[in-house]
Order: sequence, then structure tokens, then C-alpha cells
Amino acid sequence: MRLITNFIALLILLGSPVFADIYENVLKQKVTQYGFTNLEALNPVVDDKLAEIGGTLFADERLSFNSKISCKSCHLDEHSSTDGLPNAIGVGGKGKGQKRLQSGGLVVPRNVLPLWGRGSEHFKTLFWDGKVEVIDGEVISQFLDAAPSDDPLVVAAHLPLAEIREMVIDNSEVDALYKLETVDAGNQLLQKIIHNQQKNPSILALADYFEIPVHQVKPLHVGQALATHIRSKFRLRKIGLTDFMDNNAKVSQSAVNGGLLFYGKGRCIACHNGPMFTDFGFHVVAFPQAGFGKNGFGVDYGRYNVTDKPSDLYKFRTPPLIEVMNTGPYGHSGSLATVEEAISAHFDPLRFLDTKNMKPLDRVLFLQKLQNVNSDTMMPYLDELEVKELVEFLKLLSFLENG
Amino acid sequence: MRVFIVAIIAFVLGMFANIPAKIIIRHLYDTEYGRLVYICDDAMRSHYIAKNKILETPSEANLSELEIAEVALLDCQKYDVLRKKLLAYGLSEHDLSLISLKYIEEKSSDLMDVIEIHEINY
Repeated sequence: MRLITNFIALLILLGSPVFADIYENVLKQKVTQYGFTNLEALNPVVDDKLAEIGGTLFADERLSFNSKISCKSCHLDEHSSTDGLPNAIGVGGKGKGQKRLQSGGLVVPRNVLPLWGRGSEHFKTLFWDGKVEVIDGEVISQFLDAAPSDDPLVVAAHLPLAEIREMVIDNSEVDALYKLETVDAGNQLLQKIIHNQQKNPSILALADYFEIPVHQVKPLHVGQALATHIRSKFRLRKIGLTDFMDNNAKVSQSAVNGGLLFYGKGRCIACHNGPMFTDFGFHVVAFPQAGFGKNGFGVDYGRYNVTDKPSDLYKFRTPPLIEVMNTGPYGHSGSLATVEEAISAHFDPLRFLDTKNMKPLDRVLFLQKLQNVNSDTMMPYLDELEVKELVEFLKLLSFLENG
Repeated sequence: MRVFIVAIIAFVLGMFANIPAKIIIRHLYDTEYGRLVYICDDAMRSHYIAKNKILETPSEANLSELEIAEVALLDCQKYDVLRKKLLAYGLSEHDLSLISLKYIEEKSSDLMDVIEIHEINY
């Protein structure tokens, strides 16, 4: 009889708000423990005038050396600063979405990354493969020891302008210049872009801002303006989780359960930690490859392309999760259309492959990728309900408002 | 004058005759060339990785892997021979680059699949 009474009492306790509070309290404790902070406090102060000039340059197709494409062509407001496509479409691309994919533009074999929070001070590793990063206070990039700035975002803002397929058509002029494969060749191309734009009102405004004659405007000034615009427009905003943490805002039980999975059984927090839910580290997650990949033939070696270290094969930087619900498709090649799929691919990547109908080569390449997966970053199996709950938690990482 | 006209006709015929010849040669060798492009590319990538493995972790095992990768580089010889043969048959560097590009970027068509399968609405 006593056993039955205890059992009934336990059932009541389990269903009671008191018990729900325990879940919420544990979640809040974990969120704090793993580095979550007020995101808005991470935004640096920006110069509004320079940000405004940067905004016009961001949308200016004339910054493309020999084509018509701007930064804004692939960083669209309606896709929360991405393009909504698996791989980006660079030079020759027209329109948005499917129309752009079918327009015959050249494929840039990586998924467009969102820009939120890239300007915050602790954001020191940029791009999927970390081709711009700060190590021991020094900016490491394709500029080698001649980085134009000690600000990684300013350095990163230079790169798309000089990238073949992305904003540059590979014609004979570019080919002759880039055959040298030197930092100087890249700088020359960047300088030519600015030199050709001396009547561009934005470049004139830049000259005015920096109080220099227009012919002295350098790629660095453009990079600074673009970076300032990114810092301003894509600053971090208040997210649902902040409201839950600071104002005790009510969230669904599913979201709380998902949060506990995130910090517990799911082990997501092992890599997605810190204020922006990334450790800025590089890991192998065996996502399927969409498109021909950075290395061709459906291969993308990821971080290895930057470091030449075989231990970096197939590694990519942990993506931040702020606004993750609005920035699909997912993965370095955008091969996964939904967040649910992206979560499942962490622990059950074979689910997305029709191995019998794959080309033998593609099957072997995927096996090679699997062999590089580190057990430390492998998620355990989660059932359908758990994945859904995890998604409910990730919804709390979306901005409450976009303005 | 007659010589001039004959020369012009010969030139034009020569120009046009070259086009079907190129199409036939491309048709005949496209698959084999594409395959060798991949095999050589794979051999070179594997060799480069093997070299970097020694730099990252010098060991007997990695040295042996490099030696194996060096032998595999012989595949590039086959690619090179076919390349020269096709150049001799009249295909240009540009034609060969186009065939290579076709195979390197073969998988770009699956980008549309990602969208169509999941019916992403834009």
C-alpha cells in the first residue's frame, strides 16, 4: 500500500510545476555555465558614417572586377544574410533562389555563411575553413605576413572581391595576373578594382571620410567600410534564450527538454559552446556533399585546404547557431535542407545516402570522410521526438526582432 | 585571282572540316579522358597528402605510404600521353580544359536536387 502511495506521489510530483521548474533551473544553470551572455553586449561601437558608406559598397556591383555581382547578391535579408541555396552562385548569377541557381552563374562550392555577429570582438575565425583567423594576436590569411589589417573582419572583407568565380571572372587578364600565385597579384587586382571606380560616389565618399584624394583610396579603406557596415547591420540582437534567461520568459516544455538534450545527452555543447554556440574549432561531421566541392569531383577537404595538415582533412569550423532556424540549407555544401536533417546527419549520416545507387567513387569518398570522424564529436542516437525537441530549443536562438 | 579564290575555299573548307573532326574526337575520347583526369587528380592529391603526413608525423608507416603514392603517380603518365595524343589530333588546350572541367564539376547538378527533393520555397 505504501509503495502504491509513493508511486502516486511521484507521479504527481513529475507532473507538477515544481518538477518543471527543476528542468528549467538546470537548463539555466547549464546555459550560464557554457558561456552564454547578453549578445548585444558583444557588439562593438561603430562609426555610423563609415557604416553607411560600407552599406552602399556592400550593394555595389561595380566592386566586381569584371562582372556584375555585389556582396548583397548572396547575403540577402530574406534569408537572414544567406542566400537560401546549397552552394553560392557567383559571377554570371542572376536573381535569387532557384532562379539564380538555374541562371547559369558559376557555382562557388560552399554554402553561404550568415554574417550575424561576425563583427563582435571574440569572432576571430572566419569562413568554413578558417582561412582568416587570429592566432596569438596575429591575423593569419592568404595575405601571409602582409595582412592589410589586424582586424580579421577587414581582412576577410577583401577576399571575395579577389576570388575567381565568386566576384571575378577568370578571363585572360585575370589568368595572366593570377598565374604568379602571389599575394602581390591579389593586391594588384584589388587595387585595379578601386582604381576603376574613382568616379563612384561611394569611393568619393570614402576619400572624403578618410580625408584623402580619391586616387589614394586603397582596398584597405573599402575593406574597413565593408567591415563597419557588417558590424552595424549584422550586429547581434536579443534572442529568445536571452528573454528566457534574463526575464524568465515562458518557453514550451519541448524547448526546455531540447535544451537539456543540447547540454546533456545530445552532447551538442561539446562543440557548440560560448556566446554564439561555437567553439571556433574544426571538426569532421560526415555531412553528405552537394555539388562538386572545393577540391572537385565531389570532394571538399575543408580545413586541410588551408593548413595542409592531413589531420585536418574534412574538418570545418563549428558553425555558430544564432539564427540557425532561418539560415538553411545546412552544412558546408548546403546538402541538408532542414535543421532536423542537419541534427540527424550528426549521428546517422548514412540515412541520407542511397548507397546502392551511388557511384562507386562517391561511396568510397564518403567512406573516407567517415573514417575521419572523431568519436569525440559524434552525437549519440536521438529519436524523432528528441530531434524535434532539440529544434524547439534552437528556435530560442532566433532574434526576437530583426530591426 | 583563281589561285586566291581556291586558297580562300581551301581555307574555309579546312576551317569547317576541323569542327566535325573535333566533335568526333571529343565524342570518342571524352569518357576516357575524363576518367584519366580523375585518376591523375586523385593520385596527385593522395601524393600531396602523403607528403604532408610525413611533415606532420614523420614515421616509417607514413614513409611507406608516400612510396606507394609515388607509384600511383604513374597514372598521370597515362593522362599525359592521352592529352598529347588529343592535342596532336587537333583538340586545343581550351577543348581539353573544357572536358576536364565537365568532369571536375560533374556533381554540380545535384544542387538542384537538394532544392527539388525538399521543395524549398523561395
